Amino acid sequence: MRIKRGVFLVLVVLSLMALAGCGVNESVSQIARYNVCTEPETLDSAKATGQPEGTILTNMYEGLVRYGEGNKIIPGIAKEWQISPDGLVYTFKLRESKWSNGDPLTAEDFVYSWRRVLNPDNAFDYAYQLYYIKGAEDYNSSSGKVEDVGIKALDPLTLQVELRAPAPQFLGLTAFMTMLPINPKMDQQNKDWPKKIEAQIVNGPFKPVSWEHNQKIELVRNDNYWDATKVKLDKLDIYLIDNIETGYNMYSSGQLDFQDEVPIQELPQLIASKQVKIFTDASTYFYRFNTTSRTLSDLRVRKALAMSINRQDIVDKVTQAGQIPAYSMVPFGLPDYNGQDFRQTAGNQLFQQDIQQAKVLIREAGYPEGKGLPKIRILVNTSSSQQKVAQAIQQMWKENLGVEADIDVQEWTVFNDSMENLDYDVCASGWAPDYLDPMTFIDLFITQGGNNLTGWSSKTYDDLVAKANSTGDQKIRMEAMHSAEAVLIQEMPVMPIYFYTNPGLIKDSLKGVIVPPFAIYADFKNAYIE
Amino acid sequence: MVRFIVHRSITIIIALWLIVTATFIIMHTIPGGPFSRDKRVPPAVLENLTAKYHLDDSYARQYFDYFSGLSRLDFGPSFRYDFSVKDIIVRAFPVSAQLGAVSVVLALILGLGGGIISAYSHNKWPDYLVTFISSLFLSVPSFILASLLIFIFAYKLMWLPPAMWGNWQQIIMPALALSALPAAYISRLARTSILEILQREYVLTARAKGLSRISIFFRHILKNSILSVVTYLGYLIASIFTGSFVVENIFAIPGLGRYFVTSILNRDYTLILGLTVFYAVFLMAMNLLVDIFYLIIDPRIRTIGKE
Repeated sequence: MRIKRGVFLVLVVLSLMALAGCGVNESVSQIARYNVCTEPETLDSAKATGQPEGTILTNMYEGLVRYGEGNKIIPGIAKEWQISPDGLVYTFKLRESKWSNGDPLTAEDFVYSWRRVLNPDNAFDYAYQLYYIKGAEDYNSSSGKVEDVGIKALDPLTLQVELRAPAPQFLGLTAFMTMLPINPKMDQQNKDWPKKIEAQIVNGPFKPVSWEHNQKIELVRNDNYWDATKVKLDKLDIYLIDNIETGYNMYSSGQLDFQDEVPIQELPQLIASKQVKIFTDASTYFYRFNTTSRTLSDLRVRKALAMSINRQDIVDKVTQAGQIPAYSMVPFGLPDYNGQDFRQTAGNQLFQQDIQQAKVLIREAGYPEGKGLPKIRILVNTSSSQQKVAQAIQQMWKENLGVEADIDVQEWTVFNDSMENLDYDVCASGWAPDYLDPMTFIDLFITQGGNNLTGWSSKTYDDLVAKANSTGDQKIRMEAMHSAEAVLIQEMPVMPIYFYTNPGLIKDSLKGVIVPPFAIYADFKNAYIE
Repeated sequence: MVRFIVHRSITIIIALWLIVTATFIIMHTIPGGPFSRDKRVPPAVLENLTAKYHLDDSYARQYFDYFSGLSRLDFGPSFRYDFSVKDIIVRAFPVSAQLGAVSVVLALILGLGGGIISAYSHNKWPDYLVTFISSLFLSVPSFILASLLIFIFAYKLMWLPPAMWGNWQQIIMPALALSALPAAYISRLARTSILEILQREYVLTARAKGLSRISIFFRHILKNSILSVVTYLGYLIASIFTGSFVVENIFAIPGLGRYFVTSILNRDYTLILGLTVFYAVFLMAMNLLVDIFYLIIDPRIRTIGKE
């Protein structure tokens, strides 16, 4: 009897092992476990502003379009669309699709959702993302009526949007979280729906099951999604663990399949052992110069500072994640008119590293070998990588130019305040695009731009941006933006340092995840476990 | 006793008013506001936001409104999350309290045990060993201890899950990390007071009467030496039950501790105030309980109270 029981146990163990062995073929359970690295601030698409929220929402909802492989805009709830020749009127034909509760999704739902975003009483941050639409800004600033906003349902499956000026980026923007539809009935009947994930009626690849705060969100496949047959995952667990070392521990012990942040001290070793994949990221890291400061109002000083740092050393030795040294402002990954990449058409050498020339410039400015130049204050926030880059630059300026700098570390909100009040000399900055078009970078530095924050103003630049914004002709638009970028680099109110990359810990068995270079971290619509 | 409690409750209310006022002033003095963003928003959007959260009211008005809300136990909405401050406290406090309770019990067992061993083997090797361990625990920060525990139990031995919350295995490491310091402190307090009491005449008398060591310990020593530990316990419970930012962060525990730090970083005004009020009330209530407990166990204090 004893022996028999032993044999039985061995059999059980063997069969369990056999089952485990099946993991490589189709009998593997289709569950992906992903760490989005924070508790979302909200799950109301109109209120959300962050990439983590965008990521969760984009897996639960679908807008008029969606971003597919290779940053291509593909039909979402809209199966086709027409843009009027003047670039002002967009007519979307919606496919017949359903909400997760089985109700039909109509053009009226989009009208309701977008009006809700713009309603001034709701006070949503990203209402301004819809300002392209005629009458939108007026309504949101309480000086216009909701009926005058250019969003109309012509019939249940036709949505017409009228813009106030041509904006070719508008099409891609309809994939963005702010423009996702919400179910009007749900919103009217249960005002608490953003707090109760299980009450959310969705229209995307996955529908919500539960939300354990600061732990995880569980989603399952939404069988009412129009493209549900393409969705291979049965379940998507989105973890909300904010300590990335903890996430890394969980990844190492097999509790996670994917985390898009990597502990910086582990990075070189993980890249070497190919455990980390490096995804593209259409964002730029740069320093702002305070052009109203006495010393930095001198273009020669700004140029000398920009030309005298070794960006290759910074990305190789400090940031270490394959970032690309930046000698221009607009990163790779944004399309030009001819289908090419905006950066590739213009090249990435709008200026060069040239220490000799920098020395000449600083001498001409009246500070030979940096003598007589007051100490430059580099403002950074408390992120350790920002501080490390600043230390490297501080040293390079000293060695190459004889220029002395101090690093001023400020807590994030204080830092923002200082930047806003131009209370800095040089300020560490980054910019991630809101939509996949160079304009998101170019219009930063117009005179009235809320994100200019350098005190710099150029009529030529403003005119070029205005020209680009006045036409739907992509060729004219892009050429104007190329010229504007050239002006920006010539005048150098900012000093580009590198284009970001996005290193992620991802198991080889997790396939088909789309990791876009902006707006969201990961789209699991086509993902599967091999 | 009743007079004592009434008297103390009035003090608590006055203290609370002072604390809220000070927090309110400091909070509005530090640079930056709740709508500070990486990406600046247009003025119209900012106006909508400040109007919605009543930040365009005068400070006096905001101050008054806060107290009128507070009197109805309404802490207001969080500026950052969709949830109200009360929602967040109600959700996160039980988690921290549960972990805190385990940690306090653990700290008491380890601390008292260590202290008793130490005192009874005064200046012998067990005493030195306990003193050494308690010095170690007093000086090693909890995040290092936590990392060490994870490395050993989750990474090397693979006995325990590295993080998250929900089952008893997940309590062990964070509770150890949280209780190390208080256990060390308690063992020192216990050691000192036991040593002192062992010298007392009534202990010698008891021994002379022929009472066994064990009954002397329970009747005289434990009861008298525990007073100093009880004093510390009020503060310990208040601080440990409301959660630790570091330990909750490392072990991914959905407790209240994290919000004490993130609410300030986010300038989430209502959450800052709500947590301050909650912590202050909790701490003062614990101290009141400790004082009441004194009255019960220590006749000397009882007489002073009457005078």
